[in-house]
Amino acid sequence: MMQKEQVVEMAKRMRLKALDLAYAAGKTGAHLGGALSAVEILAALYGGVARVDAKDPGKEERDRILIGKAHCVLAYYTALYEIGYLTEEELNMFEQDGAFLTGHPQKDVCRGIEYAGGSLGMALSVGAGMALHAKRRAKEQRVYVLLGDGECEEGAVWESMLFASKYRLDNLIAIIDRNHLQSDGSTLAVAGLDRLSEKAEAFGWKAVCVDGHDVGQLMEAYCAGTDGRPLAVIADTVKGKGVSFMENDPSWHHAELNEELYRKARREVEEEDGACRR
Amino acid sequence: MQEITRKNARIWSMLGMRRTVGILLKEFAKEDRAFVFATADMARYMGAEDFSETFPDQFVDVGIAEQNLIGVAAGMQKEGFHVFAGTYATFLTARALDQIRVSLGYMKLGVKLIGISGGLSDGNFSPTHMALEDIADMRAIPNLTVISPADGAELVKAMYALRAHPGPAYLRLTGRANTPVVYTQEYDFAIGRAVCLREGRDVALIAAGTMAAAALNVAEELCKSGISCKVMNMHTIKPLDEAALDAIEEFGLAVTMEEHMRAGGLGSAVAEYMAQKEKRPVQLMLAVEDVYPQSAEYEQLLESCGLTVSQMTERILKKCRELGLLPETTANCRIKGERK
Repeated sequence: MMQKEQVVEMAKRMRLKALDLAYAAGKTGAHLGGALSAVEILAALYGGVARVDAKDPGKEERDRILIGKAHCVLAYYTALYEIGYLTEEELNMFEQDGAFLTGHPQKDVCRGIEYAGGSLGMALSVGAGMALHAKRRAKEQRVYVLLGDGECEEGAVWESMLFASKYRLDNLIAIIDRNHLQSDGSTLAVAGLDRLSEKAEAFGWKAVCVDGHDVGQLMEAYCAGTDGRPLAVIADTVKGKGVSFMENDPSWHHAELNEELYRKARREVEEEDGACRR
Repeated sequence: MQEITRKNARIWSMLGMRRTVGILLKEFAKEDRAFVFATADMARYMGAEDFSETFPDQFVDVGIAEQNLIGVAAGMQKEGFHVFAGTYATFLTARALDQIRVSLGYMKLGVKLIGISGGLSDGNFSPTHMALEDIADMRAIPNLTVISPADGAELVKAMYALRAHPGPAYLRLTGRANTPVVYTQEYDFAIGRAVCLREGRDVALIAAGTMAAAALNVAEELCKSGISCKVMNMHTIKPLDEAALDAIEEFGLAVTMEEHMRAGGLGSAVAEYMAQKEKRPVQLMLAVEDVYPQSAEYEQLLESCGLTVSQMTERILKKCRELGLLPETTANCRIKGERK
């Protein structure tokens, strides 16, 4: 597992690689905004906290990581590459016809992909089932599920929240990428979504709010004590983080990156000193 | 291990399929520590009200939350539990369709789904509780096996077969208590292989679920008009027994009978296969005709849908008349070795 400083570097490499892949995808375009908001979240998880081993991907005691907001694949695949689940060659096949690294992930445990995300609102239930299995078999592993904030508009998320609380799944961690934006605008304007931590607490979860681009805060939050409750880490983020013209602009949810903008974006990320710019 | 005997068949009939299934769930839990029964507030109606007390670590109740039921079941199955998940057929298959599609169909997690009140049997509860599109929904999902047993004995057979089956499946339970009995002794059951309940040569009756018993009665009625019927229990709707259908290509008429919308059900499945054959019988599809029937007692509901034995017999006779299939003599409709 990496130290905080190494995770910061890992996040920077992931962000750059994500831009490369989006540019290489050409006219197909790629989901950029929601990937860039999740870079530190996944770097802190895969690089800093999670007990996973790419050399032994099927190891029973591994932590399980499920990606609900699967449109963050650019952050997801680059994280899997960073910790050795994917080769550079495989990563560079992103969204090429017939390649297995598709626009939404296909389940492939050998490559660290536990769950085929894409249809929103379903991953937390699956994670809860896995966490219940671990409890009943007295296993140590933890189950992390990354959700989008917009994804929390799906009713099924709250069915799972109720369930996890009933079964006291303190080995289940929901990470919510709170970037405040969805396709049609702000989560508040589109769906009236707010006060996520109060909602989680009301469902019997322990909620922790952190700066979602601060890997130190994230790593600490993932390990927070919960008194037997499931844990919701609400990571406040910026959609399109790190690229000025993408930040907080919903039109970059899924878009094509041309050469000029690609170079501009890459320059901005390269020059970034790793501190949080909001 | 449950045995098919006259006595057991009588008990299972009395209980109906939905309560009989509880006997099996408890047996499986006892025999396999990795077996889990998951439900959405329906243990009581599946003959499993005492399951949670006897097997607390093998029981999961998600409450009235079918989407979560599928997700949790899939998560447990992925980690190594053997999960059977049951609730009302329509809530299970329609409400949680996307979850079934992704976790069971796409990810191939081998959860076994049990839908109670398939078809019209809960007619008094209004169309909200009728499962009339479930076969269409489940059948369209790749990798999913779809089974509708004919009676309690076949339910027992299907449950054992599904326990040994690695992939995901949907088991549709039809009928009420006092289910008509089709089987009173042991027979060979295999997923995907239709059972011939009666040999015949003019008309092939193809049914699944409690409609199989009705088909036997229809065959007996048609015999009085000299029409020889073969009765096929197509208990597995997916994968369909294509060889069994090849064997009826010389017939004049094939009749599919089901408590399901005409669109996408057993009749559709048969038609999809037969359509590409050069030689095939005309097909008459007896099903619910694209309407939500008015609430009523089960028997009345079957009548309003034209699915009672006498109505179906009449409709088949009419079709035989149109096709010139009516024999000149009413004698000799039975063929050698058939079940009486």
